[in-house]
Amino acid sequence: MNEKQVFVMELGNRKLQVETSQLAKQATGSCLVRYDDTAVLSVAVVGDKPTTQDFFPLMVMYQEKLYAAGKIPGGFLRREGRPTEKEILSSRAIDRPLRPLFADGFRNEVQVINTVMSVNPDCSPYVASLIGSSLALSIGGIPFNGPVAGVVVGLIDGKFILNPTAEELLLSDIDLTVAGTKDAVNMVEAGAKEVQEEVMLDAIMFAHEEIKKIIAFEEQIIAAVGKEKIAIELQVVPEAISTAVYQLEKGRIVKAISTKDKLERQNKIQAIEDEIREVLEAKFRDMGLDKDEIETNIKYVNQVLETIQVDEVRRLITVDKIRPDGRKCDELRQLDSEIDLFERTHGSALFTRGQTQALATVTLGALGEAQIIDGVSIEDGKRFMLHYNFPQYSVGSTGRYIGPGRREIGHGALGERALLQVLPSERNSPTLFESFRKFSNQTAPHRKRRSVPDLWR
Amino acid sequence: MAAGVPIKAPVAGIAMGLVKKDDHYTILTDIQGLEDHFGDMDFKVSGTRNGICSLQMDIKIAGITRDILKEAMSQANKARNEILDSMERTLDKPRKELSKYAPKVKMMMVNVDKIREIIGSGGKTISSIIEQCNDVKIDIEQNGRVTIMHQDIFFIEKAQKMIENIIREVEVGEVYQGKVVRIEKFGAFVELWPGQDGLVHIRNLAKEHIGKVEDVVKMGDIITVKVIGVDDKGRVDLSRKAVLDSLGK
Repeated sequence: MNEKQVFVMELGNRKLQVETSQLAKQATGSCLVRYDDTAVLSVAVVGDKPTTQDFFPLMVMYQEKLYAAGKIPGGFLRREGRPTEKEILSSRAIDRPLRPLFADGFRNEVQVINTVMSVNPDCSPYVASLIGSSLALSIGGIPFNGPVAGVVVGLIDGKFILNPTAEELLLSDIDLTVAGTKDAVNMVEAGAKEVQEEVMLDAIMFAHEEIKKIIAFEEQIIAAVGKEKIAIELQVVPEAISTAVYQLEKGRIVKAISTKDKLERQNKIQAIEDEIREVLEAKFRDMGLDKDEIETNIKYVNQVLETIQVDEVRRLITVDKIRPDGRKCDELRQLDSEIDLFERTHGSALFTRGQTQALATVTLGALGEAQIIDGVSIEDGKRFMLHYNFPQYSVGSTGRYIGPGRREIGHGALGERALLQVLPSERNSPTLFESFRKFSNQTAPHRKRRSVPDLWR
Repeated sequence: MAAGVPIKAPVAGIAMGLVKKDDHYTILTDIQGLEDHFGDMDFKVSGTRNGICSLQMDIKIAGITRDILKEAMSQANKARNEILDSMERTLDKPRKELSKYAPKVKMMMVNVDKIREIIGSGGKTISSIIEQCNDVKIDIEQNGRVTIMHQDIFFIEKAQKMIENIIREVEVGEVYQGKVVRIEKFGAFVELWPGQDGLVHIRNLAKEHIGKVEDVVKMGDIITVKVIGVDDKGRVDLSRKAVLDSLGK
């Protein structure tokens, strides 16, 4: 039985302590990260066989248990329910820097579960979770291009502050979260009180220097207790399938990509791809493959088709300096805006950029209707809420309507953060705001690819 | 802005992308559709003309230097200003008025000791205000902040007036115009404002001696009176004579 091991460094004038080999021992990798009084248990598990899916099945969770702050859950049932907005946003902020560091073709399931066990509101449990996630994966020998680390940066009176306390954050001009490896920053998330680009860049660079120090600490831990790297079989498209697709494609997709109109372009590409899929499916059937094998092969075909598109678009942009819809690199799509679309809403506007439409309404309410947040941080009411919805019909698809997904919550939060900076203070305007965005007629994303529908696109 | 929320400045956002091949790179403004996931970096910036309000960035490759980031940010800044130009052509600042359907809000501070009076026993007083003011919404906080809300500013002001009357205190020496609301043998009761009466004793009604109260005032008369005293039960002593004296009549 392994002995518990403890590693310590100083981070932002507080003690960062990592304990390994004590908890969740059957998991692939795990550790407990203590940042002052904050403690997070990070556990990583990898599936032992690759799945046949055509995406990387990574799931990152960040959960705050109210016991961490010594609180009893609100509500009738007194039981913690679905993930809070903060948990969803933190999960995303751990997922985003990790995901691109896994090799292409990684198809084994990977789960990284962070549970906040104790919280000191002045010591970000997110920072502890990201370090913990990186360590749990690394210690467990799960191959990825880590380790990673993240920090929060504040700015008060022109001075950067590493991992600011709750009070410092209130005074700060920026609330910046940066994550990265020792070589590069790979995720930035920030809210700011109308700061200049230069300041933001300096802050990101300041953060990266600190990240490097944490990573050196992580490397020391991995060297001491890390398990041997697990051999992962990467999914590779069989040569024969790749060749067959290219033979059928004959540069037709490449040509279709340079179609100006989005819908027309999509339809053209779709038609060519459907045809290729059909021809090959028939061929696979003739070869006597069973249903499952055909399905797997078609997935490979789709991957090749996607690669063709990716390569061509990247070539167009970097070499020919032409974008698929013919725009210049720094050219915006056509903009338009309209206001007062509805009679009884307190405010409404329609913003159009190219084929993307954003329909926004504003509802003003009494302060008593503010949302009370049940969480482990300092209890706070929320006076401004931005709800972002991305209905499936906006890309012309059918779909399930079951409340906002992670992505919608993430995009809504970014918009909310931006508008929060310009809102009147409670004293000057004791009103509650609720803004609701909805998108329609959004550019249809290519099938199999995640759509990125939001205010900015 | 269309709703009349007095925001400091309009905010716009833009999605940017970057594709890098060896030492060459291209920064793209307003990425969409196909460009979505093919890039090596994508970021979204929002802000006013004065600066950045929020930023989200995902970088998939190493080798994005500070100079590249700087260039990308400045290209984003240019785009942001173009969008603001376009938005401002539709509406360039928040409207002065809220929608007639939006709740209007007024805030006032009251002495914490007066909160009980505003609410009344079992909430009687406040319920009556709410009833008389078309279901106006009233929030009273422990620190004495009273927030009154209604779609129609008329009812807010009416409720505000009613609350002001409750918390208003009579000051000795102050002169008021009041209405005679009750006449007794010993004097006349005068209403200074709704909810606040005082008594003008018969000997304080006029400079000369009078036999009957009705000789000088009748019900409904508006008369000018001066507060000459408030006893420990809060009863207000008024005098008409004192006013006449000071006017030298």
